[in-house]
Amino acid sequence: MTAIQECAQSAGKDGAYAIIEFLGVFAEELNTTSLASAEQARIVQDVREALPQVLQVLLGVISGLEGSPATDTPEFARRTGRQASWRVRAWRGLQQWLQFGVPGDTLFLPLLEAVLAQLRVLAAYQLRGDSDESEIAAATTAADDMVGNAAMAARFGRSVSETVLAHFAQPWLAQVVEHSDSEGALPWATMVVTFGETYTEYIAAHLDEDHVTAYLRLVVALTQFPGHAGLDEEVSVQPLGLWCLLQEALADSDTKSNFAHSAYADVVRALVAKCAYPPTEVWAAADRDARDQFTAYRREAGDALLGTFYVLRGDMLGALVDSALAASDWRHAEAALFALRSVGEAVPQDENDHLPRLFAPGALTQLQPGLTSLHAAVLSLAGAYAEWLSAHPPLLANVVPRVAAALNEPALVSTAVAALRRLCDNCRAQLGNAVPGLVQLARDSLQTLPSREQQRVLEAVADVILAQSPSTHSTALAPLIMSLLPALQADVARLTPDPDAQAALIDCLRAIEALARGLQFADDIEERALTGDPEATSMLTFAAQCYCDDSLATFRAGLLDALNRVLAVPEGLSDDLLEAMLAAVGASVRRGPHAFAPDFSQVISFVRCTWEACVARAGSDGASVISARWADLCPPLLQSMAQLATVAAPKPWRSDADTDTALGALLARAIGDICTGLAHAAPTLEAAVEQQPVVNERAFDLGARVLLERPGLLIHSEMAAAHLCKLGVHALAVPSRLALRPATNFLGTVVRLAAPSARTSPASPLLQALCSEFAPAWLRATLAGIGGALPRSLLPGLSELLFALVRHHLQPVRVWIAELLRDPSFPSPHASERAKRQFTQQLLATRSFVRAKAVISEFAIQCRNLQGTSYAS
Amino acid sequence: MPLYYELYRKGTLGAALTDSLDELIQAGHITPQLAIQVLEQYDKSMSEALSNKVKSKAVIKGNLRTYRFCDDVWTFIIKDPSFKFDHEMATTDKIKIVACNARRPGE
Repeated sequence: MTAIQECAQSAGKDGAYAIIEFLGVFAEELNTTSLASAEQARIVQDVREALPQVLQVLLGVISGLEGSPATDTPEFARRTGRQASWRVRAWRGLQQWLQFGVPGDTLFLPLLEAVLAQLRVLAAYQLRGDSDESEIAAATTAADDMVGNAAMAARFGRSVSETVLAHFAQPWLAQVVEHSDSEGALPWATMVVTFGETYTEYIAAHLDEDHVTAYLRLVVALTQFPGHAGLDEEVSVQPLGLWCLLQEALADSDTKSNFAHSAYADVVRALVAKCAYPPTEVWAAADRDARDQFTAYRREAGDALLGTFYVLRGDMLGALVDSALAASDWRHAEAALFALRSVGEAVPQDENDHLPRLFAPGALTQLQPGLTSLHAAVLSLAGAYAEWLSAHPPLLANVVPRVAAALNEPALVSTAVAALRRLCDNCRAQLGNAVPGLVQLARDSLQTLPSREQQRVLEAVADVILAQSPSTHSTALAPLIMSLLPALQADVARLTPDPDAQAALIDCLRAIEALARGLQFADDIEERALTGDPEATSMLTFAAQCYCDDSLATFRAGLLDALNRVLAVPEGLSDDLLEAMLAAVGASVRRGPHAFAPDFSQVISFVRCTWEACVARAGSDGASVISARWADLCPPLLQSMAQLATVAAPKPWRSDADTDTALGALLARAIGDICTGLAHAAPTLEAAVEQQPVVNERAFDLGARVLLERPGLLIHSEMAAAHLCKLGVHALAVPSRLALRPATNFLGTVVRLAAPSARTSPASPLLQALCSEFAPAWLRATLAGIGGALPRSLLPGLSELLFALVRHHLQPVRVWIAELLRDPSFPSPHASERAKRQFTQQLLATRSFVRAKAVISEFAIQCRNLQGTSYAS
Repeated sequence: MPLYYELYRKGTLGAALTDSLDELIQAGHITPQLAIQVLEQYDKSMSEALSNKVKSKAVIKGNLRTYRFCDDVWTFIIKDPSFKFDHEMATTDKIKIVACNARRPGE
């Protein structure tokens, strides 16, 4: 007999109830301890042999509720397990043994039957008000583990589900849910839902069987549990996920069931009722957490409603529209509108039976006025059905004015703007006739709306303008730019170095930026035009011609003039103002034409002047004088330069003659100044790079962008490329992902473009020269990092660079590596000659990056003296 | 088979822990065996914390560009995803989701 069997046998004797505690702890330790495999196998075998006795003991204590109530002395109660605390321990012990694993074919099913039978007893006690909460919790948790056991579901699904459903279908479970408060019903609800989530496919396949229908009625009852979710009950949130899973299972099995239809109809009614806001006094008394939980419940219920729509389709829409229009109480109307909004994304555009009634003239206005929540629901609904409305343009005339009117109500502004955005985005082609009204709306918003909402309105209206013929853009934009430019000029005239005084100017610039964003042609149109698509090219060329209009030219000139005057303010710019200025210009600098885009050379000049005002100016001796705030102000400028490099290519609709020289000079200046700034920032360049990660990142990103988009620019900025290559050597020594990643990205691009097999470009000779000069230093720094100078988490970046060097410059790298590894202590004294030889051979022989990474990783482990340890593997 | 998933070792926290353990091993302050125990405890703590302490929920919607299921691991790459949290929304260009079969901590 094993030790466990002895323990089990001694349980039940006088004074031996402590064994119950031991059995639970033993199982817990067994689940978490790692032992040597032979020892573990022996213990597991012993335990399995004892399992039937163990379970019998535990079940015996658990069922102590039954039995004769006679002579209920404390001693008798203790010996027979009639104390709840012992039963709780036994339930918890059972949970631990379930985790260990109970064989399905011999023990699990009888155990499940016994557990469910005992749950019925506990339910009866709960209904009598004579139960122990911790016992109910422990029992239902154990049952939850059993019905949620996926392995058992996979092997014995039919047997388990028939057993469980036979019990669940009996009235006791529904009664205990019905007659309990939220706290009392919650553990039962959790168990019921867990079963459904585990056996969804079985349920979907047997929908019309009595025990399944009884089970689903129980789940519907849980869904409509009385109270307000999050405020005073937590039961109704439990089944929401199950309805979604069941809908998916029904769709997969293509099951048609009348009961499913009626059950889901009940679910919709339950969810809509539960989503209704509570009475005002209840809501006012609820704390913030409770309100948040109710809001979270509504969101989950919305997802569940989307699932129900896939089952009920038009029937559900019809019922919800009827409910919304006929509701006597605003809460019910709002809940119905919320439900309609939740399913909006799934409603087909050709739905013509129910939604036209909802958006017909006067339909929504008949809902009770003056209620913010209800109005917000109407606005959100309009936004959610924007795509549907684009297929029903006559109805826009009913919807858009209602949304526009709500912009005047402070409590509804945010919702109204979101709805307007969606309507403009989806219905831009259909709203052509409404452009004058929308432009007036946008103009009024400059006076009435907060800055952020202004921007959203301007961008939305610009979207609609852009969708019309380019010949109308200038006329449409005229009222807006005639408002914005004078406001900008007035703000500039009032400008002082005080950051607080710059807020109005920043808001104005952001409004211009938002308008410019809305006027951007889509990326795919620009791409198609650049690849020669005649239709796209023709459209963009025509737009470019239209944008030569006088009023737009005046605006562009006025904008640049105002921005240049900003630069003249002594000790001028805050970070926010600089970013706003660059963003206002940058939003119009695109590969395609743009109504607000200045001449390209003017933009370069502006960026150069801004650099001189903010980052570094030319000293009297020709050397750059770095400003005190250079590190804070240069990143957005570097980003602007990267954008310029991207869009600088010649195009059919714009000639950017002789801009490469100016842009190249700007790049050379900027990179040179950055290197100067870094050299002064810290005792070593490595330290400086580590201290200024954003500067480092933007500088290398600029370099990489130039290499990829306009390598020819490098001819005009040879020093810039050399500076970056040299900086890269130092960046490779910094143990920081922020520093290393941009550097390896840039250097890897240089290596690839300098390869003999790379496509020839005007910059090829320069890149090859740079590679020849700096690649040995890069290789040294990379190998040092692999060898232990850098953490192992940075190996991926180093591996990419090393592989690029090997792949594209095999012959010179072969020589350089041999020279470097000749030093016995490089890259690590732990790397033997044999290991180095093997590393070199394998690295130089592979053409696969995956294999190269493995070779590098293995060498890194050897350099760190971790080979042979299970830690390194 | 390990009791807890080791995939969290590849995250930022796990990588930082591994780097620190590497340093300590290199300096001779700890043995590789102890480092393994630390990592195993990390796996356990991460699993338990994510199971028991994380209550927030997000709905992710986007364009599913790639899906892969191999060795019981799902990998999804989603373009232009939007994350809807309780009180806010976030968007980005692309995300990768690696999903392993759910286990209770220690299972």
